[in-house]
Amino acid sequence: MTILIAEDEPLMRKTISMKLEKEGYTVIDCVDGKEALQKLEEELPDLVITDIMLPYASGLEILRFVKSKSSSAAVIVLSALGQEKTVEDAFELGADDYITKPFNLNELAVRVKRLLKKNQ
Amino acid sequence: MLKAFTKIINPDYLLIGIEILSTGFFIIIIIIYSTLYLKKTRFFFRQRIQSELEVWVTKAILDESEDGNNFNIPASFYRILKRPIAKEFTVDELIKTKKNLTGTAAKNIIALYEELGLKKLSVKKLDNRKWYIRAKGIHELYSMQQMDTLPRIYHNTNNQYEFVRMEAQIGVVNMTGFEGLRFLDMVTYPITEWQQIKLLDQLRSAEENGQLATHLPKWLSSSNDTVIIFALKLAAEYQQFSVHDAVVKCFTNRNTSVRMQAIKTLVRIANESTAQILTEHYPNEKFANQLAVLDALVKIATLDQAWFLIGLLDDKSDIIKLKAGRVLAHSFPRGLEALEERGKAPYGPYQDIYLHIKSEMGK
Repeated sequence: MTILIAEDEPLMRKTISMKLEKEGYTVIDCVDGKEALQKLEEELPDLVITDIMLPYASGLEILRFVKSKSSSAAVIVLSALGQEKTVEDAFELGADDYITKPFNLNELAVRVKRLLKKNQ
Repeated sequence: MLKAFTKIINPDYLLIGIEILSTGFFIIIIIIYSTLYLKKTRFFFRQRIQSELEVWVTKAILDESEDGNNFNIPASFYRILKRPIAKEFTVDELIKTKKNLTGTAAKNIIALYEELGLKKLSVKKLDNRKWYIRAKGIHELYSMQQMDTLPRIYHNTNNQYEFVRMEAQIGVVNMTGFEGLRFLDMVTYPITEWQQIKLLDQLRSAEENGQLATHLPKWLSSSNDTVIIFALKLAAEYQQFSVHDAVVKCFTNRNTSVRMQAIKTLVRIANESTAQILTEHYPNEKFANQLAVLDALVKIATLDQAWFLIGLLDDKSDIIKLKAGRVLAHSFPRGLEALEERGKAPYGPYQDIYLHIKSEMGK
């Protein structure tokens, strides 16, 4: 199972990716929205975890792109407190789940597992 | 003139001029290159710390062992950390990551911050003479939940420097929730609107266990008007019905903003007497606050206010007429009909007011 992570905070990105690698997934890291869109163009993963606020292309643009390519790839949106409206927009665009920062890494891992199981 | 020109174009002077110019250019080029070199060195140094951090800090954050934290920090990283820039960078990165995580990962970040000796650096900043360094130190300490430094942070909640005070106030609330609001007892400097928003935001994740009702009356009679305004906002946000009468007393305050906030708060903690109190207070108020009273009455007016509102339909201000009409239409079963009747009058804007309110109500 492949998971793409789009997160601009380096330490945060590395932490999430290591956590998911520990759980047995193959992880693709992206530092910004542009890189994420390029990698998604090459290969569509089973799940995408994206921050909403990203440089060059927002998490919503990534979500829109994924959903236009395939409806089977799941997307989890990482949002900050007070971004309720953006989360609503994300759900309208087809986001499968969202998690608000600050979050528990174990909770994220459980949600990832549940979504991937559902989409299998 | 001609003599001076001949002197300038004299080959000797021209040569001196060229020499001065080229030396100037040379100095500028050296400055540019050394600045770029410094920036580049700093950039690569940051990248080096970043890559070191990423590898084992991530491992440390993900450590879920029960036997306490044993981070095995490499000696090479301690060597890097001797440089102040590396310490600053590491603290910043840890704080950024800590803000996004909860649970064991967040606890591990705090333990790592202490293990690396970064707490000492933050505590030292509290004694710095530069206000922005002091503010940063406070930010670091509360972000890393260093509870033993709370008294020192609390001490800065009434600091003369705005940013130091703001960070300290946010810090005590972040660390102790509603308990931290005790700084309101003694703060003499104004609490800005933005700071009030930030404090309310911090309190959102804290649990209110009845402490507010005890402290609010004291804050509502503070000599600092911004404390009163903030206390009024707290009373509204946490619906502190017990302070209703203390809020009414704020109508005697000389500050218009305090009275305006009191009106807004009363709507949120209204009882059966509130609408009457507001109508009685109305004539004493300034225009903007009168409008706020009418906005408040939309939600709480009773039949007792009907004559007062009908009277306001004859006010010289069209906005007052419109707002009074809105209360009538929203609060009384036949209010809209009464407005329609009034709209038939051959004078005044009543027809327009009636149509406007009717469309607002979707009728």
